[in-house]
This record gives sequence, C-alpha cells and structure tokens, in this order.
Amino acid sequence: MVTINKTAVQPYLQKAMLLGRHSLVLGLAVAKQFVAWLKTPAVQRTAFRNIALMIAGYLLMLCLFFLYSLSLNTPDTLPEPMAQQLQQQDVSLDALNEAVTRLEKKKALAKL
Amino acid sequence: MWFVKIKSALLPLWRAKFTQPVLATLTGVLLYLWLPLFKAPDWLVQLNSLSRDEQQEQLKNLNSFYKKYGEAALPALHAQLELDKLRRFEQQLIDDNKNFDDQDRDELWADATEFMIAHLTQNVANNQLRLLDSECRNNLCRMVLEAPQGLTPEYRALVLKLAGSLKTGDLEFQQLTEGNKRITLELKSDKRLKYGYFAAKKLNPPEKAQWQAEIKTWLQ
Repeated sequence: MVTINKTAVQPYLQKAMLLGRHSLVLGLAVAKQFVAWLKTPAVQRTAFRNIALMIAGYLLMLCLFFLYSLSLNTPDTLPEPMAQQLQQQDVSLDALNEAVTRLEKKKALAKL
Repeated sequence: MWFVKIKSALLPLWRAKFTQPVLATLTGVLLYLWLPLFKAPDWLVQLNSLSRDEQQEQLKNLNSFYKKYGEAALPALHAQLELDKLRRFEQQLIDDNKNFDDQDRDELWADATEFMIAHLTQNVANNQLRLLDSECRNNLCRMVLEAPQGLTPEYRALVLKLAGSLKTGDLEFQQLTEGNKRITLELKSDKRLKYGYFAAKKLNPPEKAQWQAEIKTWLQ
C-alpha cells in the first residue's frame, strides 16, 4: 500500500486548487454570457421555432409509423387469439419460432 | 486557406433561411428513429414482405403449437418470449464483457481473488515464482510473473503446477503472453458476471418470477 506524503503533494494540490478556481470563474463567466445571449428576443424566437420544428418532426414520424402499422394486415392463417397476443410483442419471426420450440421441448421434458 | 474556403462556402448556407428549420425537423425525425414511441411489431413487418405460401411456411410452427395446446398456452408463450428477451440481453452483456479491458471491477471478488493468486503463487512453487502484478476485474484476472530466463522447461513446469492449484480455486488459464523477462497470464473464472445497477435491474424485472410461474403452471 502506498502512503501519500502530504508535504510532497502540497505544491501540486495548491496548483490544482488554483486551476480549479480559475476554471470555475471562467465557467461562470461563460454561463453568464450564455444566459444573457439566450435572453435576447431574437435568439429566443429562433430557439422556440427550432424546438417546435423538432417536436413536429418527431410527431410526423409517429404519424407515419402509425399509418404504416395500420396498413399491415395480420395474416389470416394465424389464429385470431394468437395474433392478438403476439401484437404486443415486438420480436422477430425467428424469436417467435425459437420460443415455440423451447416451450415444446420443455413440455416434452416435463412429460418424462 | 482550406478552412477559410470551407467557412466561406458553408456560412451563407448556414445563414440561409431554410437551413436551421430543416436541420431542426431532421433532428426530430432522427430522434424518432433512435427512440421510437411506437412501431409495428417486427414479425408483422417481416410477414408482410412475404408471399402467402412463405407466410404459411414461417407460421407452421406457431400454428401447429396453437392447434396442439390451444388458447391455454398463450400466456406461457408470452412468458417465454419475455424470458427469451432477457436471455438475449444477458448474452449481449456477456459478449460485451468478453475481454479483460472491457470489464468493470467486481470489488469483493477481485480483492479476494487477487489475495488468493498472491498466496498461491508464493506457496505452491516454494517462492520460485515472483508475482510482479495481478489484477482481477469481473470474471477475468491478469497476472504478471517474472521470467528472467524466459519460458524454460523448468519454469513451464512451475507455471503448470501453479495452474493446477489455481484451477482448484476456480481460475482457468486462458491466455499466456511472453514479454521481456516476464510472462502475462490471463485467467478466467466460471463466476457469474456482476453487472451495473441499470443492467442488473433490466435483467431482473419484477415480472420475471411471474413469467417463470406461468410457464411452470402450463407445464403441469
């Protein structure tokens, strides 16, 4: 185990504290400028417009995905109760077949 | 200068009226693709791209399962699908932790194992092996042994003797790298990986016991 010699560390600690204090002052000054910039009406207008457009883009995609899902038909070869149950599952066909195979194997083992 | 050229080409484009709105909308679109609020199930999308015959072929297992066990098996199927998701997630975590450098440290196990490695190295080979460094993480350990003459037959025999003792402590040799007057050994334990808070929580949801119980009930 290494014992930290406080006397040896002291000068580095002082420099680190000085650096930390400077960074804090600089950070606060930048933050102050940023807040002042944000309070400018023109900037606020642009920011609100961009945020609104971003939300609009998100909602547009939601609508598109929803409409696309409405266009998908559940295959008539799949029994209705099973189709309803699987509707809640966002899994691939391989995963569905794997789950069924696992259950069959478990059932076969349980019968033994 | 290239920077000024790029700047003079891009600045008017950035200042153009349409750039920022288009970028903002595009960000929203990409955000949806990254974190979708809703999307159609994968299996339904896959089936819709297939012909009727191919659909029947893909659904053959599911249909025969339903025909055999009826509606009573549906809760078990749902439970199995959820458990499979957890299994796949765990497999992904195991793959992510395959290398020593990718692992976080499981403090309790690592401390105890490092202690055991130091103790065994010292005692098994009657102080003939010198351990320079050892570090354990989640289920992998790395130890550096001094080998002034390289991997001589005598030295190899000592290392193999140590390997035998470490194996009784559930640590198996996985890799040996020869360096300058030293060898690095990578050891693997069969221990279950310890995951971070969020991964562990995702891996053990409160519903897990209920899913297991549903399958058990159906099996009876």
